[in-house]
Amino acid sequence: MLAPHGLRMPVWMALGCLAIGAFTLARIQGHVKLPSKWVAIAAVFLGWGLLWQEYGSPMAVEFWVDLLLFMYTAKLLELDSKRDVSQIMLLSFFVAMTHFLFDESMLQTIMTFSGLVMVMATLIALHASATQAQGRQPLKLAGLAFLQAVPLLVILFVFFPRLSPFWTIPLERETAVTGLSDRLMLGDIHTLVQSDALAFRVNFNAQPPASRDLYWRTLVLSEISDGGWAVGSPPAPRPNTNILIPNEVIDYELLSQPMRVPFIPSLDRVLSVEGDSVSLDPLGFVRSKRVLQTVSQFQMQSALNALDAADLSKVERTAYLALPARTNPLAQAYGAALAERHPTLEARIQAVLAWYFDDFTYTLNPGPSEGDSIDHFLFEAQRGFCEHFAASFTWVMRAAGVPARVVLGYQGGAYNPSGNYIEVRQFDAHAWSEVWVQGEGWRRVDPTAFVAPERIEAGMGAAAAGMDGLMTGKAWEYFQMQSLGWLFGLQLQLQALGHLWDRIIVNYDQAQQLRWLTTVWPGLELKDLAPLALAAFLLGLAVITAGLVASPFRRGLSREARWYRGYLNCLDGVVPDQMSRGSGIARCQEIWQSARPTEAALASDFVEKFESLLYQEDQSVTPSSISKALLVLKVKLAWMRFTAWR
Amino acid sequence: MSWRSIDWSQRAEKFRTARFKSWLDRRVPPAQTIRLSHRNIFIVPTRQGFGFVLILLLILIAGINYQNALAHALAFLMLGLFLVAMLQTHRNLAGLVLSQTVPNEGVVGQKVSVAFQVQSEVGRIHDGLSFFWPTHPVFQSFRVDRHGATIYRHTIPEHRGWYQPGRVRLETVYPFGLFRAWSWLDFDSKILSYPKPVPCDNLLRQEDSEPNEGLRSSIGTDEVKALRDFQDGDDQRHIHWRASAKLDRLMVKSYESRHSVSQWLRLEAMHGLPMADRLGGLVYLIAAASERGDAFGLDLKGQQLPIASGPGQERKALKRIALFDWPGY
Repeated sequence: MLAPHGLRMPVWMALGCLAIGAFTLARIQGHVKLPSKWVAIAAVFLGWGLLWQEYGSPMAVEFWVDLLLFMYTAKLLELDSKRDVSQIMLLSFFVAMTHFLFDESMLQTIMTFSGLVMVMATLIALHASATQAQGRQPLKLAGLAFLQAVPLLVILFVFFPRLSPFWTIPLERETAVTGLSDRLMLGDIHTLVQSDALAFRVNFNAQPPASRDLYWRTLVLSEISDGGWAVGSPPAPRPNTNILIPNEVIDYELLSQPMRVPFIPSLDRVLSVEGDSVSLDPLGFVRSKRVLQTVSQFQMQSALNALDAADLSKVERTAYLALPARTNPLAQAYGAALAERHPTLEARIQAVLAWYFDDFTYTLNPGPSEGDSIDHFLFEAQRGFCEHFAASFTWVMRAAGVPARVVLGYQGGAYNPSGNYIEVRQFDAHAWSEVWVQGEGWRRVDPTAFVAPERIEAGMGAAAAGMDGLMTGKAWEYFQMQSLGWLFGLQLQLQALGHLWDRIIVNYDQAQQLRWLTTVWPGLELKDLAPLALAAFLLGLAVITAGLVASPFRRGLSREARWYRGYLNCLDGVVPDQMSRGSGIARCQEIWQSARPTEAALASDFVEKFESLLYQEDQSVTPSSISKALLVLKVKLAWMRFTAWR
Repeated sequence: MSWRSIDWSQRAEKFRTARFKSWLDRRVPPAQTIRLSHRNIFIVPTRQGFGFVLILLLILIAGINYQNALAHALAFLMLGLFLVAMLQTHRNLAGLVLSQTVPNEGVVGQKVSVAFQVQSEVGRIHDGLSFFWPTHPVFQSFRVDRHGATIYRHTIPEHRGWYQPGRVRLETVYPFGLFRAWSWLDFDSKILSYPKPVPCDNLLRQEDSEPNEGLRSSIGTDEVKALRDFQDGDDQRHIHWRASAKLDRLMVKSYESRHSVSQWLRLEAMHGLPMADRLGGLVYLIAAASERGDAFGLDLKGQQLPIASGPGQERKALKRIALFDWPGY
């Protein structure tokens, strides 16, 4: 049960647990004796001390989880009685739960549940009479019990009302999440594209847009500080001044991995978003209340190529034109000259982009930047990456008097045909610019598209392929993988399965629950859920009970035998004496008549019908009338017993 | 390595009040053959079972708190397993048919072995069963398959007469130890238990000196039937002096010849002793006489068993003593 934690927990602890496990195995084989109580206590205190050292504070969940795991393992040291074994087995369930706190993948679930089957098999072996070697029998029985429990699991999982958290302990992850940050220093994205970590996956309700149109806007960087771009605090646009003229509306479902920033990627102009504690930023971005810690799902609606007929307020205009004084003087001068040379906004944009197209090189190895980084890039190196282009373009635009900002996000993504979704990984991270065009709103300008069109048209893989050897790390391995034909196909299928798992199982929350159930029962409300869950659960339980308890008695019995057994069951309460029973139904009826004359009439009614069908082949007696007579008798007896009990 | 066993719940005894017993007599009436079904099986979670539920709730709370779908699923799985465990444990007893095969007799204070026949009516394997009288718990579990099983358990009669050993407990925690299903079975059985023999050789000798009222009032045994060599321990009064002088060695008169000795064993003869000891003494004497093959008669305050010999006579006599002054006889 500990294995899934093995790589996460501190090394000394993994080794310690292995040692205790090996020791216990040796003890079961009879090589060593149970250690004294003091050895066990010393080991436990040593473990506590080391854990305290490791985490420093008792606030992290890891601390408690590892403490639990350690105690769980240490319990092996005092394993002596059946009760100890039972306790360990029960604790295993709790340990299983801790697995899911860190990893909710399908593989993890399969591993954990298989482990629990083993646990149940151990319990069976423990409680069976140990007269012979049991072989696989306990495992088979445990598997069977699981199969019987699974229908209840499914029913409860679907119907059980999802409650909101009672309180929250922040789940502090040890491993840093890779992803966008809320600042852009030159070189940041460059490190990001080395990673093949999954960022998010998106299912479209209709045909997904082409890769070149997929600009996943995540953050707006509108302030320049310390030589980089930052989110800052841009002025909000005046409310209700945005007059959107939507062009094309698309609905999609985005399943995001944990992020570093409390922003969720979205396409173009977001019209609406549904999900756990997310809201629409006035700037048109999706914000979440806190940084995503787990895989989370969002329903979104976006307008593509929408036009915004509103005006930019004076405050906004000032903010989007602000440049720090006395930095990058060459770029400032270039911007001023640009404004003089080209009176129109379109011409200014085209002039800069043409310059980029002629003189600049797109590379993943831009080399170190020196001094004023924008000046250095524009007039010396002229080799760079999307972040260089976006940052310098925005700078120049502002210098030329055009309100502009940098947008951080992801571009493109790989379409997975097995799962019909688009998958975006960290190496798809991208930066581009937005400039304000009167009458049109914020227009996306991606200078990278002019320097390296293949990056935008075909994605990062194609761009990297053209620059062999420039890309390193995991991302490079990932692209190498793509050339491996069937293996890549298999991987795609596995990924699709994992995505389906994340969407359906891991993200099954209240909203989704309601969405699903209302497709079956339109008009269902949250308050109906609890009674519905209870009813479904009881129904499931009844079916399983019938399957487990009733069937062995009934299986393979003829109709007549069932009737006879039913009659004998009724007799149990009236004629308990087995000897009298042996002398036949007639004698039983006599006893019954003398003991309880009221019910005896009903009983004899049944007996007469039964016998006339069985021995005289009387056509007037139908099988259903016999069943009915027996049922009446049973009900009467049950009522009698109930009143007697009262 | 062997595990220490999980004890059965001794607390159950506390609830065995008279009222509970009478309820139980109605619920699970005494019968010679008992078929286990929902009617006579009781089932309650074990301590481990309650622990299981506690862990289940903790997992559910954690699942809600961290909004973790799989923790929810795990909690639901556990609930499912818990209920399946209940059904499985119940199923492990249901369908068993038990009977007590041999009518028994025994001696007060000594172990009596009782045989029980256990069959499975449904042809299932029932594992991890334990079966015992609460006064003599036996935790060794057994299993019953298609062919059934015979189980021997012992009890110790506490008094003379018809001893009812009380209800037998059949219990199981199989398969998962989360539930304990049990039944209290009354096979309507009685053990004819005899008083414990009390050696009374000395007593015998004193009584012997009183010719008419003696325990060992001989009929025609004054005549010497045979002579034999003196052995250490022989009564000096029995030495046949004349023959000894003639043969130049000590000869004793022998009274112990077969079929020649018969006696009346009388309860009144042992006055001055508690009733239990008097009856015990009689048992001892009967056993001794039977072993010698002597004929004897029994006189219990006027209830007389005519003089006879053989195993049948011994059985009759012992039964009379066991049931002497027994209510209903």
